Amino acid sequence: MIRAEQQHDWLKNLLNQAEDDSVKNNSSWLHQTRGDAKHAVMNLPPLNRKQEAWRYNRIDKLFKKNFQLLADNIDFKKPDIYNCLLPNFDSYRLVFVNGCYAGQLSDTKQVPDKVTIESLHNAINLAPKQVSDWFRHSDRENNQLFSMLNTALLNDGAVIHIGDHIELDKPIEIIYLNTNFLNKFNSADNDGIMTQIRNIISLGVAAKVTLIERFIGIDKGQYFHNNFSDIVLAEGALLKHYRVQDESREAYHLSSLQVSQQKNSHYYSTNLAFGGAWSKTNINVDFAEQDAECILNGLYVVGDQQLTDFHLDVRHSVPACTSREQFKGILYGKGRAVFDGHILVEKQAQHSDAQLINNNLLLTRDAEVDTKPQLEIYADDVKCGHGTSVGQIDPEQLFYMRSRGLSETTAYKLLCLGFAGEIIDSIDEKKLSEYVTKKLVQTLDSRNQDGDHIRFLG
Amino acid sequence: MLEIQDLHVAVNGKAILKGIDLKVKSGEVHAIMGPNGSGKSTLAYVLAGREDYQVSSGKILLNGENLLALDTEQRAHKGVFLAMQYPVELPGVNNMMFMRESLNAMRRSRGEEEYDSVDFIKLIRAKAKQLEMDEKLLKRNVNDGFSGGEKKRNEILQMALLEPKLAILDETDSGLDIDALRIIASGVNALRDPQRSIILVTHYQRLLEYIQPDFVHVLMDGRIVRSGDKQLAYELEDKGYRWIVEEIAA
Ligand SMILES: Nc1ncnc2c1ncn2[C@@H]1O[C@H](COP(=O)(O)OP(=O)(O)O)[C@@H](O)[C@H]1O
Ligand SMILES: [Mg+2]
Repeated sequence: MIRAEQQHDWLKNLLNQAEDDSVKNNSSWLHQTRGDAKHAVMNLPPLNRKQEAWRYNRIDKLFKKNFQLLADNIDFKKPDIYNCLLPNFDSYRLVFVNGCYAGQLSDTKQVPDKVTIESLHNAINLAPKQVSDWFRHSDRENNQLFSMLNTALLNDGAVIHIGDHIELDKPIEIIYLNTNFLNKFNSADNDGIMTQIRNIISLGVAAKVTLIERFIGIDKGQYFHNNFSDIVLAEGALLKHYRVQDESREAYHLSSLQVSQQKNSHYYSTNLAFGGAWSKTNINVDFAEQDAECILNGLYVVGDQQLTDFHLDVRHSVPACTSREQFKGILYGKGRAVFDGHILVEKQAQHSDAQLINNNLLLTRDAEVDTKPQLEIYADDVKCGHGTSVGQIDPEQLFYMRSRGLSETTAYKLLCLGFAGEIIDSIDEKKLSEYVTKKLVQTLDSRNQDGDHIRFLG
Repeated sequence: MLEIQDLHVAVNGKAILKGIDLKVKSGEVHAIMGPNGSGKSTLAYVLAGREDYQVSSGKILLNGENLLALDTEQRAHKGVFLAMQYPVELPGVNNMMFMRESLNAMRRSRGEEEYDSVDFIKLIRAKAKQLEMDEKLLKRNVNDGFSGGEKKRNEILQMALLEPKLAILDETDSGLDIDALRIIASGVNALRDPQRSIILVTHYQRLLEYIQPDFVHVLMDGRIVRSGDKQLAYELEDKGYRWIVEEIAA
């Protein structure tokens, strides 16, 4: 791991840049929060491989990059967005370009009463007190370097609040378009833009909504997208949360989600990761009250020059909650993945029901995955289980399909789609699942074009 | 027409087929019988092109063309079809979609127009009906969780769909009750055609009551030790394989 001083310098450089852009927003609590976070960042211990979160995921490369903060939104021609939209898909839409809210690309017309769907800046202008109430730090993120950095460098994000008993008529979509304008921002001392997004999402009692987040690298090139979402579900609320990470193949991507669930609330999420040179997603779920349920599904597709990492941490600290985690990985070329699924069941959390599954399909000999389920159980009357596997395509299956006239490439593709199907099927929005299937096919096809041959591990 | 000449095959370095000669003309049905482990499935796999079976010498010609030079899928395109003894499960791969991909791959290779999904559904439903196959099986994943009999029926359905030139049925009869056997046999009989060769691999005589073979061959220890007409099958039924072993020894 890179030396502590270098990490320190790297952070300092970013924080100094943030001084320069001196918060465009004059909200005093935000100013204060950012200031506190800056102090916290500089006082946190440096990252090292003894820390569980960084054991298999080296970030040396990241600390060698000179990222720049982007103060102003750059004019982004409207038509470009249309390539990125799901066809005929109706949603309340927030669009961010390099971390800055792009109002002219967004669509928040006719948001019903008791519903807030705004950029953070707009929300602060409209209701500063309200936003400061929603804005919170859980203890869990206080010692997380990148989450604190996110607060310290914060430029914008989404504020979503769904009032009690409201079932929203259509999904909310947040689209993050990232571009380095074809390396316009890359030079000897500049490796692209670093963006911070902070989302504050809260659902009132029995509120129901679908939230789709899509991260899109619209051209080749480096940048660093650092995203943090704070999600609070009140009693009986239901959030279906779909995230598609489709950053550029050169990008750095870090997402952290902090989910807290009140009594009888439901959090159903499906996470897909296709892009990024380096990508890490942390999902922390805390059950604050009984009878809550979370389902975390995921699929990562990882090839040459890519490292994709999922870190799940679900804490059962109250009785009778249910958690289901199922993640699948398809790896090819020299792709590398890390899956770390931690479930904590505290002593008082009787009747917890927790399941963790991670299956990986390695298409090539050089692909590699570290999978680490960790069940830490202190209660005695619980139902907990886990299973992980790392396998290859079965040559018998391949032979069978080829004997029916399918090419080896098609056979591979169908088997991969079959493997991923269960995860894609957990997406309840048909247009999104179709898009994701197409994306998966494209990714598998482009792999073949790379001449990255999929011959079987023999 | 299929012509096998002095075929020697090894698996993991162990010789399994030790000089097979066989000619199957178009329109003929040949039965290959023999005890367990004699090499029947190995022969079937080698015809279909399984790569982990090493052909150490010999030739396989289909209508004069060297099959051994072709990949598995190319052989399928030339009309080779193997109904497997143990059909493979494909979790997550929809049966109907799989069969459509398969039929269209064959048609593409012959420069024919592909089936769209509407026409294909009509076609496959009609074929499934002939085999008295539950349509629900079409909507499930290929062989995934199918019973033994359902898997065999699914194989015959694929055969009926793909209309091969050379069909090899490896113990399609095993694990079937008498009703299923009758239905499958009538499915196979419906495909008997002057343009088509059929090889039935079995170690019971039972199937041959329903599908009358033109020739019967006995495979033992990697060699065809006896060939005859269907009378040979009845003799085997009476006397068992030991009778041949003793005759050879004598
Ligand atoms: N993959 C394999 N590896 C090693 N031995 C094999 C393999 N497949 C078949 N064999 C052996 O080859 C011989 C013939 O098998 P097989 O062709 O399946 O016989 P049959 O179908 O007549 O019962 C047997 O001794 C069997 O154990
Ligand atoms: Mg056999």
